[in-house]
Amino acid sequence: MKLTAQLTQWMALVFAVLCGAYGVYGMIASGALAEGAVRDDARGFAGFWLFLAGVGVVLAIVSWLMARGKLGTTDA
Amino acid sequence: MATAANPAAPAGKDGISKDETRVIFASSLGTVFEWYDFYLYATLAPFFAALFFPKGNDTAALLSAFATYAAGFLIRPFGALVFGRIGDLVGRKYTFLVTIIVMGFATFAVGLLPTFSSIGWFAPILLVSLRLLQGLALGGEYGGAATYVAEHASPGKRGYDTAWIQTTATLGFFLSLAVIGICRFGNVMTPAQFAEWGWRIPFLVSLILLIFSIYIRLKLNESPVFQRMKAEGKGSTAPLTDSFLRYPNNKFVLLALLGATAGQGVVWYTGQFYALFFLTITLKVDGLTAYTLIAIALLLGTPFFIIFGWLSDRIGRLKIILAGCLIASLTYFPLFGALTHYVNPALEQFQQKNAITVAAKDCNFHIFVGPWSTFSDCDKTKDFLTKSGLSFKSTSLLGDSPDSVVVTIGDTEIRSADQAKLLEALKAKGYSPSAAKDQINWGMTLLILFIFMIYVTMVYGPIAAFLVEMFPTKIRYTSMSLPYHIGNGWFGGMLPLLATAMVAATGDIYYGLWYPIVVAMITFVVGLLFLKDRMNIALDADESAYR
Repeated sequence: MKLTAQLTQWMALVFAVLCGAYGVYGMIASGALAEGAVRDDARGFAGFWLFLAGVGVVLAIVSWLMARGKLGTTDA
Repeated sequence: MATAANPAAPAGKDGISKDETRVIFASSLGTVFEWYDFYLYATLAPFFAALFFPKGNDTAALLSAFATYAAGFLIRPFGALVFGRIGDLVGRKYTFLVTIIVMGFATFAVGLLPTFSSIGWFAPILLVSLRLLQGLALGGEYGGAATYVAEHASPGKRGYDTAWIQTTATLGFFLSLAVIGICRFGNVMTPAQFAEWGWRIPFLVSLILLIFSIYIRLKLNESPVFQRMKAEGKGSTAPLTDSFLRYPNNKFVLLALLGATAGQGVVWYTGQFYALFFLTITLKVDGLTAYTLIAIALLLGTPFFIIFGWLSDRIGRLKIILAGCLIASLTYFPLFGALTHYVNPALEQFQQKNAITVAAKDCNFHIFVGPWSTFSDCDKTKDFLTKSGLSFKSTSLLGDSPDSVVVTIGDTEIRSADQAKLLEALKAKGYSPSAAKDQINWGMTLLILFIFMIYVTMVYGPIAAFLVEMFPTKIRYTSMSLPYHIGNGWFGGMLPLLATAMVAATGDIYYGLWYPIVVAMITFVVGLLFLKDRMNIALDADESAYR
């Protein structure tokens, strides 16, 4: 019964996990790059994907709260 | 002065009252502009990769630009939840007035954004933020417009009236192609100027469209069905809970997704976007020609949204939607094969004469690519062949082989991953890196693209009326918006990425078609078994009538 309401939150989580995994891997792997400028760019890309992961997490939390009527009084 | 639209206003037997015309025009126009704004980004994503990310990492930048694009799709259902709730509580008119303001502001602001060279990584972060606002607004817009028009429609004309809303996504896409086309190819500026500052113009133009849309929408009144419901005190105080946690509404939301909108989404994206990518990436048609072909097919196909909407008032909506899904599933393989035959016959003949095999060791599959990624010879070779629009078979090389990759093209063997050597060998066998314009069968190509558009219009033309009729007034805006945006935005929006990844993983240029085929077949089966048509239901009927 809750599947539909939770679908949005799960999709946001999947997005967050994919972006987060990519970002974390990028952060770790960029440490092995020798050239300073390339390493900085690589860390920037990884940071950007971590930001996207953060967006996914926020959306997942918001949808979780909305589905349970915990966001706003009229839906409680 | 506000203009009240009266659903009982006199109209001809098959005609349309002035009030209905005004409602449809105002709702559709605003929605066209919203889709225009949304698709501008999709079309200009390659430019954004170069402008908003550091130079020298083309693939990583393009992937990041597309991730930003995906974030806009991700948030669309949230727009449906947020604005759907406001629409069911406060009213349809004011809600979609807010959505268009948010969309217009976000799009205009994209045109003013500083780039990576000015503010570094804040540039893409600001871009993502504005993209999220766009997705949020679009998520709230469509359901509001469809509900508003449906609740104004005369009895027996709901399909026809809402079909005008259904033309808006395609027209918005067309408009974005047209504005960008004029800027890029219309001798207005040089390609360098467009890449430097000209890309901002289509975004800034949206301010004019925004002011026009707000002016028109301010002249509208609230939906009569919603007004009546509020006057009778039957409105929902908790539309989210009523929609998603209360049986049977939650069941219908899920069934609407799997039995209607998921299939609709993949057929819509295959017919318009994937066809465009297939023409340019696989069949090597130049961008201007491919855009022109798709634009002509869009224009020829657009009236059929209205025709199928009208037809759905007579024979039912579900039959048309499911027939579209079924026919599309059964014919995509032969039609895309025929597209290759008529667009790039040289490529087809080359593939028939020359089987390509890649024997290699250390093969990896990369979807996510960053500056830290390393590519083996196998990866580079397969990537090169995929980007060349060629199908190939993969085998493993024995561990003791001195070579890392061996490519066989017909009877020629290349023991190297050097792309120049590969291209030379391919050309020696008759391969051409671009489609010859004089070899394109224009009539048959347009016919096939037109057939794709007919499928699009079959599944999309009647769907607004179908979704509106699934849910009672008090939760209609909320309930119909969510399955639409998940089906269209997620199932459809993911199609280019998933289909391209499937092609790259298998080495078969047609393999990506399995994704829309499987999803459309699931929709056909679920829709056939679990959904029923409610074309004759009164939209202000009691909630029990919807069970």
